[in-house]
Amino acid sequence: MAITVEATIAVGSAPRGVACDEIVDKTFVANEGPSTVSVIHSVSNTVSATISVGPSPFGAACAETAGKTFVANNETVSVIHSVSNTVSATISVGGTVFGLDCDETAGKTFVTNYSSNSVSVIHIASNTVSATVEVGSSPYDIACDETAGKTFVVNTAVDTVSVIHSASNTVSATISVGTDPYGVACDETAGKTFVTNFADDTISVIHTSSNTVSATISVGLSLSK
Amino acid sequence: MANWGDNTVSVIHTTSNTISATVGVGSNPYAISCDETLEKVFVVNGTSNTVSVISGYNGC
Repeated sequence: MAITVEATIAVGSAPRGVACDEIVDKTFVANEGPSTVSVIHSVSNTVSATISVGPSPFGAACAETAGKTFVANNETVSVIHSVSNTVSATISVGGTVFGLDCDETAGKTFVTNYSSNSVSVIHIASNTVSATVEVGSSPYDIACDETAGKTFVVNTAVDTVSVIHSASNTVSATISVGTDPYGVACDETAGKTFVTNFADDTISVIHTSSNTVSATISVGLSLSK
Repeated sequence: MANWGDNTVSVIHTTSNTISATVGVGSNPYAISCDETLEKVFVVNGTSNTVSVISGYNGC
């Protein structure tokens, strides 16, 4: 079957983050312009609801087992009850936030504080900040590998990735990658973590277990994530 | 992986570290999320205010 675009869905202005919850068949899109989240019914490709969140939402991540979707706003995180599409809590974090990801095994959501060079750790069950971890300069995107128990943080200003031991909230390694890294994603099955380098138009492939760069891939123009 | 500057998404074969396909989407794709159960990929297009839904790919 060919890879095709089967639908194009209108959402709010300046959409930034997106996260799928496969249990409720919803895809949540953070719209930075109107400070809303568009909820897409993933089966029918239609917008089923629009939720007001905090100012300038950017990243989004679903904790499917907990039934919560976390949205990174400017200095706060909105917690959406994924079934009812309502905001159940608003959590203050440290500075301008962009990326976040959930480790449901550890019961934690990790949030990058871009302006304060740290990561806030949210306890998913209680919606409270349980720890703050110092990382490199200008942390942007973040991704959890639940199998390895590691969380990877892209430090955009210093071209590195901080590896957080998810259980203990400590930085266990710092890895040099390409120039102006922004996005990161983990393939837990392959044991690889992929980092997009915006200025290089490359991807650094990190061997997740050893925290080393095993390959660099050249791709298209101006990578995002 | 979203290619912000040329409005495409590259599909990377994660075992071989090679690009296996490139798909045109909307303007300035920012972020991607996969629904592995439905085998769909949702791509946020940052300046066209849309989401592209990619199908026909069985593995995120």
